[in-house]
Amino acid sequence: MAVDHFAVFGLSPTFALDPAALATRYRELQQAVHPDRYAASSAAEQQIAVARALEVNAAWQCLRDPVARALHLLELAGVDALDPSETAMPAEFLMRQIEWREKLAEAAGSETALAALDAAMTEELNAEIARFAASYPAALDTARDAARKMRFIARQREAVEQELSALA
Amino acid sequence: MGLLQISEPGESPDPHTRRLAVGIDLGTTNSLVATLRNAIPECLPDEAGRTMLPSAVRYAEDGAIEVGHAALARRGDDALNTITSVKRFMGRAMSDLREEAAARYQFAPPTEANRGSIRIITRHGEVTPIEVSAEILRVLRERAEATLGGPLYGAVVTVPAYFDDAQRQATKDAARLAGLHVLRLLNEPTAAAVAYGLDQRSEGTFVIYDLGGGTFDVSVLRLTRGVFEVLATAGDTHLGGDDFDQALARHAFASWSLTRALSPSGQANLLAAARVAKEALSTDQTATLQVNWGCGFDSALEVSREQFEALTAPLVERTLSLVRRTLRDAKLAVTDVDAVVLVGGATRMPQVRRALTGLFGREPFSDLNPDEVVALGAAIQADQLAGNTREGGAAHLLLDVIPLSLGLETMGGLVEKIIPRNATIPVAKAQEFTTFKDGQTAMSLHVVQGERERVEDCRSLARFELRGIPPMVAGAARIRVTFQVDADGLLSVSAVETTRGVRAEIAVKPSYGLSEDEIVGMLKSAYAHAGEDMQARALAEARVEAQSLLGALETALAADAELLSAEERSALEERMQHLAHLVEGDDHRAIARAAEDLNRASSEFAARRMDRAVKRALTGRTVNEVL
Repeated sequence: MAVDHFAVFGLSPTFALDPAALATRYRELQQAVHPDRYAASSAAEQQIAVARALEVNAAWQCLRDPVARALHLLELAGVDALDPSETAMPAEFLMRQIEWREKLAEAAGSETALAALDAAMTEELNAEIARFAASYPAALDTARDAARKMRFIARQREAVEQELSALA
Repeated sequence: MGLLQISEPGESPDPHTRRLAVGIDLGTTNSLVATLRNAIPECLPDEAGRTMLPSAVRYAEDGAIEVGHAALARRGDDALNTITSVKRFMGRAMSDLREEAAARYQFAPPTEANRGSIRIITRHGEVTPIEVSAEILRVLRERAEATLGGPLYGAVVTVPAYFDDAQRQATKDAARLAGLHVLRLLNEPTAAAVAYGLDQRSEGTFVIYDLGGGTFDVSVLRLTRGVFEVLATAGDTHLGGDDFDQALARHAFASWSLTRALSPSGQANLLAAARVAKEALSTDQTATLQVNWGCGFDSALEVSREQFEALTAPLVERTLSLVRRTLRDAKLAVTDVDAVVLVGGATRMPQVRRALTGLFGREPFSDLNPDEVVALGAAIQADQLAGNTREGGAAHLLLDVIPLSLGLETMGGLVEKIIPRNATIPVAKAQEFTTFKDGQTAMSLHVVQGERERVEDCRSLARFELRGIPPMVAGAARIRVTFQVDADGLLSVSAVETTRGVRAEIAVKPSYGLSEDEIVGMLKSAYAHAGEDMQARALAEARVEAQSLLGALETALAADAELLSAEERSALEERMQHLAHLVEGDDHRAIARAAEDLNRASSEFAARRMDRAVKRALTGRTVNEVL
């Protein structure tokens, strides 16, 4: 059974979250459970605090990121979006992926070209995020497709950002 | 300065409530110790009134070990036995040594037995960087104990944010050797942020630019209602004021067209002279670099500030590119930054300040002494971690990150990232692996740290073997490996074969550190040397542990007794009385056993208290904003 990261934050599973309110809740939760707040407590309490802080950090990592959050929502709905036996993507999407890779190779070393590519991929990602938001939870198949594309695009974008970092 | 509280003679002011805790900045060039007095952090001076202790250790002819100013004074004429900048060797292997460092001392050749670790040959025999650092820490501990009038409960020791696991572990081992109980390894820029943030009561986004003697760190933090959240950090553990000295020294050496290579003493003299000139150039337009080589032979060179800045411009640019990278990692633009804070003596150089003003369009902050600010912040954190902040008191919270990604070697020498850099600690991540061959019963895992795709470009942290996997067909076993990084930034790994439940715990002992046996051996000989009785020490420690557990439970019962039924409560109190009784005796093993037993018995109570704390946090006023 999957851990429910929403429950850790006292939320019911939902895609639309206000990032500022989520961050506030994160800080309040850490104020309550962080092991440093139990410096004068028993070892048992400190151990529980560590376990809780790990849980809160894991939930925060997941919930703050729309891609991880979407995959987690599907997971909670019993849909494994990353099932390795069903990795087939539409040919059109695969073509686009190859295109991105080529663009990344071309843009290597140029900050402006990489930044432009980064922006373009962010736009693509946002389109899939919107598609997920519109289809979850009513149309899980569409949501699943959107989530998988989100993950692909996010990974590609990470590679672009890695290049940008190396450039800095 | 607040009024001093003086109690009646023979009466202690507030028994067993305040614990002596210090913050220690173990620097490349200088080290400091600070503590909180009357709620104000201050650095503790030596008898001569100096707060900075040069991080120099000399192994003297008479068998004595000199630390600090006395050692530094002999660097020129006893170079091989006077160790400086030892921080650069911490957690490193012989193969990591750079040429300039390798020329300064004599090193024991790497062997199978020492696993390629760094061992410096002195007239006292071979010493490890951990032992050298422990000498510095010991002097600071003794200074603090003499000033505060009692044994320390614990210390927060700072490390560069960009230190990897091996360097952190080495620092922690050095503190243990120095007889310190490490409350936390704290990242230097975060410590500085604590000193600043609490001093200025500010909120917002800060960049901490920390250029020390040997290391550079940059951290981006957000401060919100007492929570210091590190958003991203980056750095270079081989970039600091030392490199500016070296650039100047190389320039001088080249301009003198000296024909012979320098002896270690000559090198030490040249570097010391370059450092003096560098410091002068922070205020003057020109300075003279003067070296006395001995035997009546000397050299001098006038250097202008422009020349010095041109020589060191690539170093400044390296720091700026790391600042830009950190902002990118934090997903922030320069305009999102509310203030830039300078830390470390090397930030006194005008070209550094000018470069930052250029990048951010505003002057950086340096209200607090850049040499002391890290130790001051560490002292504030130490006070809190010693439990001196009462429950419900105005405590701050640090949420720090791991500076480098952790990964595992996979097929073809590639790295599979397990925990990404800048993840908030503590953090744990589990990953499943399977076997490659039929009937495979062991699996070897190689943990690395770094950002690159290939194993050879990352730092090897540890290799370990997982044995006892039940033989199955290839791909059938499910080995779940959990990586956990604690609040010190230290990694531990555990592995379990999930289909049969075979478990293996692995402590990640870095490839180049000391083994647990070596540390224990050194501790034993240190106690013997100091005439301390191991038994007496064990008893004292067991008593302190037990008393703090009893104190913690009394506080907890006073606050939340209604979470327990009458039976549960009396069962707990019975165990508490039993332990309190044993503490009066002198059987340290019995005390430790009873404490362990009480601790276990109280874990259900602890869990209920934690649930209540979480419930309170979740029913806070922001609930409607989130839902």
